[in-house]
Amino acid sequence: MKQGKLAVMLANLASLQTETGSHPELDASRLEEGILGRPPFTPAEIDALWSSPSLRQSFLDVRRTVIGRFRSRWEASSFSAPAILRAAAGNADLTIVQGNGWIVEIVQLSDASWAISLTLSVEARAQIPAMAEILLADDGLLEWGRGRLSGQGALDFEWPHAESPLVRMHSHRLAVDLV
Amino acid sequence: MKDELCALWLSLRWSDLRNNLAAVLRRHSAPFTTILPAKGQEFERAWDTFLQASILDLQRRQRHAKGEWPDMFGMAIGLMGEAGLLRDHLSDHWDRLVADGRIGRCDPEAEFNKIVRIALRDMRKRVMPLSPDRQKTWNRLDRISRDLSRASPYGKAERCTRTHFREILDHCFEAFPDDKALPRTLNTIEEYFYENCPDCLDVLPEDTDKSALADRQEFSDVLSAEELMLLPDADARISKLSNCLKKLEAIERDVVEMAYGLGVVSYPSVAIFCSSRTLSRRDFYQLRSDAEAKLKDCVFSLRS
Repeated sequence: MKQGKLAVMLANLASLQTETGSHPELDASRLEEGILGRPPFTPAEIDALWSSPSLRQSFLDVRRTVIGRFRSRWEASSFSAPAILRAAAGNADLTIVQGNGWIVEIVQLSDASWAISLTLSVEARAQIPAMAEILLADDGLLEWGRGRLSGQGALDFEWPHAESPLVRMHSHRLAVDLV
Repeated sequence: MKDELCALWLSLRWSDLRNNLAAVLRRHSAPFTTILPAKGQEFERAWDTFLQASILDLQRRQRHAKGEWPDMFGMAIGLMGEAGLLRDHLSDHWDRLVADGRIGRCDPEAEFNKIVRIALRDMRKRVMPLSPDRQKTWNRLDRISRDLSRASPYGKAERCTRTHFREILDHCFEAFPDDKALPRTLNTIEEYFYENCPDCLDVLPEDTDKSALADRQEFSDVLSAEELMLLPDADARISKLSNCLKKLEAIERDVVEMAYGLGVVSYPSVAIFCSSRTLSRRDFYQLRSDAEAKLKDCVFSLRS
C-alpha cells in the first residue's frame, strides 16, 4: 500500500522534471539491448533514464515494441496454456498449480492470508526479456500478481484479494503472461 | 483526420498539442526575435520565412514520428490553417512595443512566447468554440477559485500557479466528491484557466515555455506510476524517495505525507489537517510545492 502511494508521489515528482540535456544519449538500439539485458543498463545509463523525461518516453516506446514481440511468441508457445487445480498437495497448508513450464505454490499463512509463489522453468525463462514483467491472472480476469522475476526465476507476493485463492481455483484457470 | 480524433487533440490532449506546436514555432522564431522586423514589407518577409520553416518542420516531424504522434503533428498542421491569427497578434504586439517605447528594453523571445500562447488559444477557439458544458464548468471553477482566495486575495500571477490549481483540485475532491462535471486532474484545471481566465493571459504556463525544455522536450512526458515503475531500479528509486522524505523539515514532511495519504494519522481533508496545525490553506499548498521541489532534486540527483 505504502509502496503504491510512494510510486504515485514519484510519478508526480517526475512530471515536474525538465530536460537538462546533461545525460548520455541512448539510442533505440542501446535501449533495446538494455531491455533484453544484453548487456544490462549501466548505473550511468539508469541515472540518465531517471533524469530525462524524453529518454524515459523513448525507453517505454522501445520497451512496448520489444515486449510486444516476445509476448506474441509467448502466446504462441505452450507456456501460455492455462492450468487448473488438479489435486491438493500432501501438506494441508500448501496447494500447487502446475502449468506448462511454470508452477504456482499457494501457502495458507492464516485464515485469511495466503502467500503465492510463481516459479518458471529455465526453458520458460529463456522466452522472457530481462525487463519484462510477469502477470499471473485467472480467466475470470482477476489479477493475482505481477512483477519482475528474481534471479532464480521466481515471483513471490501476498494474495491481494478478499476471496480465497483456493475457492477461486475451483472455478477458474490460471495463466502466465508478459506485460 | 477523423472528426473525433481532431476533437480529442483539441480537448483532452490539447496541452500536448499546444506544447509541441509552441516548441516548433519557437524554434523558427529568429526572424522575429533576432531582428525586430519593421512594419510593412520587412514584417511580411519575416512572417513568410517563419511560416514556411514552421510548416516544413511540422511535416518532417509528422513523417518521422511514431505511434500517435503523426496524428498530433497532422492536427498541428491543420491548426496552422488559422495562423493568420498569430500573424495579427504578432503584428499588433510589435506595434504596441514600438509605440510604448519598450522595443529596445524587452526580451523578444519572451514576448514571442507570450504571443504564441495567446494565439494558439485563439486558434483553438476558432476551430472548436467553447461548448456550453465547458463554459458551465469554467464558471464553477472560476467561482471556486474566487471563493478560495477570498480570505487572502491572490494576485494575478498567484492565481495562475500550480499551487492554486492544486488547491482547487483538492477542494473539488473534498467538497464535490461525486460531481463528475468537475475536473479531476491538475492538467485539466490548468487548461481551463489558461483557456478562459483573463488573469492568466499575461502569465505563461509553468514549465512549458522554458526554452531549454521546449528545445528538447518534443513529446508529452507525464507518466503514470505504473509506467514509471517499469524503469530499471524503480524499487531503489522508491527507497531513495523514502530517505529524501526523512530529510525534509518536519512540517514539510507532514504536509507531503498528508497529501499522499502516507501519514500515521489520517486526516479526512486538507481543512482538518490545516486546523490541527494552525496552518492556512495557502501555507499548506506552498509548503507542499516547496517540499515537492526539494524531493524532486533529491530523488533524481545522480549517484555519487
